[in-house]
Amino acid sequence: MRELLAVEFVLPVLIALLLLTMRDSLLLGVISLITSLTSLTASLILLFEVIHVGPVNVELVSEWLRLPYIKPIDISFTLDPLSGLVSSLVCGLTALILTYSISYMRMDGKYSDTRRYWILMLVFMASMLVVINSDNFILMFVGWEGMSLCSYLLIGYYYGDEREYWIGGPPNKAPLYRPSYSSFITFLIVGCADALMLLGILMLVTLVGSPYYEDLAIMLAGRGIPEWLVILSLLLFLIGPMSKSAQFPLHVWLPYAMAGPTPVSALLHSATMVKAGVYIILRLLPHLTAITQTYSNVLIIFYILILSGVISMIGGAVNAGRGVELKRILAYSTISQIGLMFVILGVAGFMEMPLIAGTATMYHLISHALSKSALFLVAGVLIHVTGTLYIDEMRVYLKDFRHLFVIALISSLSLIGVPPLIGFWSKEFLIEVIVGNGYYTLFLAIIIGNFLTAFYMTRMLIITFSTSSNVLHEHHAVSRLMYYPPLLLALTSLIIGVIGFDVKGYLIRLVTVIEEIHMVHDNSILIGSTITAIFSGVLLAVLVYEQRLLHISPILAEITSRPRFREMVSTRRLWEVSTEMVVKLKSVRQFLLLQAPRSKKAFLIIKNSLRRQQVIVRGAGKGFIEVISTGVNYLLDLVRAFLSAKAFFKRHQISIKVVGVRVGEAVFTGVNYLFSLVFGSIGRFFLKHLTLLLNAVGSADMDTFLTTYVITLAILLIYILAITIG
Amino acid sequence: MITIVVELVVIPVVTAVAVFNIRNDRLAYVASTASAVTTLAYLISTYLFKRLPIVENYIEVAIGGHLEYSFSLGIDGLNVLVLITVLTLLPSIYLYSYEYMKHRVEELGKTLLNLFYGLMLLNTSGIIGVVVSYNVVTFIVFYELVVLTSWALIYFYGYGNRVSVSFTYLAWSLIGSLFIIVGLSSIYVYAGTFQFNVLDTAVLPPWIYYILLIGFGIKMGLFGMHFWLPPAHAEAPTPFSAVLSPLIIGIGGYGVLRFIGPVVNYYELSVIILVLGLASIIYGGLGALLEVDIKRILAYSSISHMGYLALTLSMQDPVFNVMAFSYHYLAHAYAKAILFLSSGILIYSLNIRNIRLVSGILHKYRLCGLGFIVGFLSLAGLPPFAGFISKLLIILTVLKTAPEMPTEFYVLSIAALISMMFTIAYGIRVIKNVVFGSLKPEDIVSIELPLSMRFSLIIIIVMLVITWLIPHILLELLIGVIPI
Repeated sequence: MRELLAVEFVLPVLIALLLLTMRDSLLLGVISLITSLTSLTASLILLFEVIHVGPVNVELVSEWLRLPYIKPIDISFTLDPLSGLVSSLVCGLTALILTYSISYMRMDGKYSDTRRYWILMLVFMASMLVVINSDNFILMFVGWEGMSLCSYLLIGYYYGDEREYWIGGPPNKAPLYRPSYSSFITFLIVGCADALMLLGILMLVTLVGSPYYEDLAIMLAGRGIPEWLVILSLLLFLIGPMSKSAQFPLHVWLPYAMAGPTPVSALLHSATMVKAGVYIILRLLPHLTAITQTYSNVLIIFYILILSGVISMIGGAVNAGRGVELKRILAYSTISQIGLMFVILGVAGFMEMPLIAGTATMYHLISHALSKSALFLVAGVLIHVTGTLYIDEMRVYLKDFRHLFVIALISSLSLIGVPPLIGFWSKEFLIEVIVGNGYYTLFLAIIIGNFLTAFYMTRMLIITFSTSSNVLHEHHAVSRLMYYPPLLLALTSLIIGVIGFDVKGYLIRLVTVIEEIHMVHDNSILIGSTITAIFSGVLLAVLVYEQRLLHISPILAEITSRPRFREMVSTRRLWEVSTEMVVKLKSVRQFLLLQAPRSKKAFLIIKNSLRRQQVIVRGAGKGFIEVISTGVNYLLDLVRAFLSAKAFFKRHQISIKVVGVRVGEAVFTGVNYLFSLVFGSIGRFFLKHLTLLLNAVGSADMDTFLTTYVITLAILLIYILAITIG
Repeated sequence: MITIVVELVVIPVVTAVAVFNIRNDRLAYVASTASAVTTLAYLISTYLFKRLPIVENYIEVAIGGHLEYSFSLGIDGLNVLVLITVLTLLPSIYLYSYEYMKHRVEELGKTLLNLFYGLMLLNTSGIIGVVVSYNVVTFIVFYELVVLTSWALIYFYGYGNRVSVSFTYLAWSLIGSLFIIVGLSSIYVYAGTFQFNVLDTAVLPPWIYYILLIGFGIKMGLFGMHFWLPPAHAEAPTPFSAVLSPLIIGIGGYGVLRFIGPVVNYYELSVIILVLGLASIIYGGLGALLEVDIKRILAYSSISHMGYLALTLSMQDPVFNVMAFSYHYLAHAYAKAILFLSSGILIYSLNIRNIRLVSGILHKYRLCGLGFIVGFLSLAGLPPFAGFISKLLIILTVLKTAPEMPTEFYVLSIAALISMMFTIAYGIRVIKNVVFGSLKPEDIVSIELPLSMRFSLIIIIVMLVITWLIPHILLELLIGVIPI
């Protein structure tokens, strides 16, 4: 087993070092592909062995790090069906996507030296496998940071910032972002979150005295540690999974991550890396629920999971429904689907058998990985063929690309959850868990999520594939090799869906070792409501975008183009107040001077240094003012939405009176109004205003970074002070 | 009587005397590099780690049967990793320096480099001497040697307003030395000997430690005593910046560890060190975020990381304290050295230091860009670089020690840990501006980088990875011999 494990993780890293000596793109690709296939074989053999034998502990290096007071840290791994399944999934997806990359990377004319792409992909696979299989926190964190590093460097793959690699837009309407900037944002968020996560991990490790997962609950119970310390360390720990899985307050980076090459988006930023957060919570689920038996208030972390999951699910879906870039739509869709998984993980904390919810999460993880990576691969082909990022400009003729359309259709339907595809079974399982435990509010939220999913996927398909043959642009040729990997993925989700009635039961037996479960006997109502939601979502999208019966865009335009609060109420005065404060701090600033003024340059130095301190204080002021002003902004926004909708009604009522047309139009108008409210208000509320503080990090102004830093610091310190003193 | 440690000090001095008399640049370069490598090889070949701690006494002066003074050198748990860092890093800096300094000497209109190499060797000897000395007088003498040679290197080969900068450095350092001398002489008054081995047992009045703290604080560039540091680091010749920044200011921290560390269980002293450290971390981080001159960014980053050294020193766990200090000294030294050497390539090839004027360096100088990425990511504590282990050890030290202290101490130390976000932020800011992006200035005439420069960068990258891979070997060296 040790040899197989070495083949699985260590070999890719060694091969990656070997690749440094080669130049030829094809050779590099083939060698990396063979390596990933080797890892896949090894992980499959290990999986079957584990299914037969049961969980095994394997130690590669003993005592990698020996520290006082803490159990020695080994490089050792726990192999069980859960880790085996996920590592096989990761290896398989890597192999498929590397196959696709062989032709994709050859099309990239500007970057002829592709070594770093292959090296980073292999290193990424190895670090992800380390995260999946490791049995202690420290080793897991090494793999975790390895993934961050690979993601950072792969997003910045087109480091030269050529115009064709910019994302965002469309130009003149929304800002464009360069790859270097995008990678910067990504790492600013993910890296800082990882630093906080390490703090949380090491707090747990020092409290427990051991870095191993299995010791966590047992050793915590007997030590009489204050509850607030346990909660604080778990909260800090949770920051890591939430940022890596792009959940609500820390989701900002994922749309930026689309600046990398498309295979990278397909592998790292949709299928595997962003699932690491879900996986690690899943892995710790039994231990976390065991902790809650000693420390009941620890349940707060499960509330946080649910809350963040619901917001991400709805907010991501709303933003995906408004997206204009193909890859950005898919990115928001990823945020939304992972939000769904977080909801289930949160519910698991309150269940008697949390691993059943865990199984449901894993089932959805697999089904989402299959369909989303297939969609990304299709998107890669489409972007290359048409040379544009925006779905409006693509409009490829359906008959020219019917293979692609079929692949995209199957994957989208699986993502929406249409029977008999894998997505249907996984979603049904999730809903069964939710309703079986009596969470009807969450059930409603998931139904809304399903409705929105159906809407935005249909919208994307309708706009991207056009039934009329007026071709907007020249098509570039594309290699046939790029069709097979997504086809294989789509077929897998089809096959598992068709034959897979029993997959759910098999997974439950595999993961939880429970023979039989009966949660909901009659789930026809559930399936009925899901299918209704899906059907109405699809129908709405078809009506709006295919039949062009409804016109959402005018209302949207009316609402979104209202004058900004900043122009309505002059924030300039607030600004001046903050600047005056800065001037009063002069004496403090002189204390902070960088250099003792000695020469005649002294004046200049003082002036520069004044500017520097001003920037800091102003930045902090700016951040707070932004937050407050947008809060007020939101209220005004709601009022405006009501007013404009009222006006809209009035106009239509007049036309109804005059023309005396059908009742149907009035109904449509009502739906239209509701939609404008959902899109215009809830979407803006959740994704723009509440997240403004974290968007401030996203805007990459250094002073807003400082604001965020100060706020994080303040919150944590106030927390500690309040608990310890009060 | 064993004579191992003294060779480490003597080899560079002897070579320096020879180099001052050589009228040939290349020969001087080869001789000094060879000397640095020999010193390292000597340390490795004697395999002395097996029988730590070792102490050697020379020129013993005994009055009335009582050991009054001796020229003592020794290696124990407190200085072994510092010594290893110094000796492993210096050869690559020497290797790098020739082409760079030839360029610099041409700019200055001078002819010969032997003065530079002679001073560098004396400086090296001084650093090694400070680290291995086991006697107060020896310690002070070598420390003065370091200060004087550093002043001379900045004065003769520095950039910008080098005369004023070098004298500022000298003035501040001499004030620091004054405090150190006063503090250490009082040890003699109270303990009756100059030898280090009494420090653990001697009962000294607390004011001595405050005076020593001021002295070493100035040498480290802690907040409030840092005014000399950014200009000195920025204007020193770049290979010497790579020595000055991580190695020389770091031995100020080693001084704190050696003289104040054993008695740091004065709570007030701990709090003062912690507050100074926290202020340095935040001030240095802010400075590095807002500067535009690449060498000044690195200088502020050094202030910030000296703050981390102070943070480890303020913790009272005797074992973790030393481990975290030593490993962070090592990781910071390697990372900062590679950053200075990479920025040296910018100055050597483009003569630009402002990060707003240059971008897309990866198009022309791959290795330089890689150096920046590796250096900053290691400082930020990412695997697979040594910085990861040091970050782990620092956080563990704090979390192990601070909860038993009063609340305000705990809160302050947690604030210091959260400030680790600064390192990430300023690091990737520089990477985004300088390494990535479209090529700027567009008319760069690509100069072929000399082989020696490339090699030295590659060696340091490899060392960063190796020290991540085998932390247990280095740390077990400490666990056995920490003298408490």
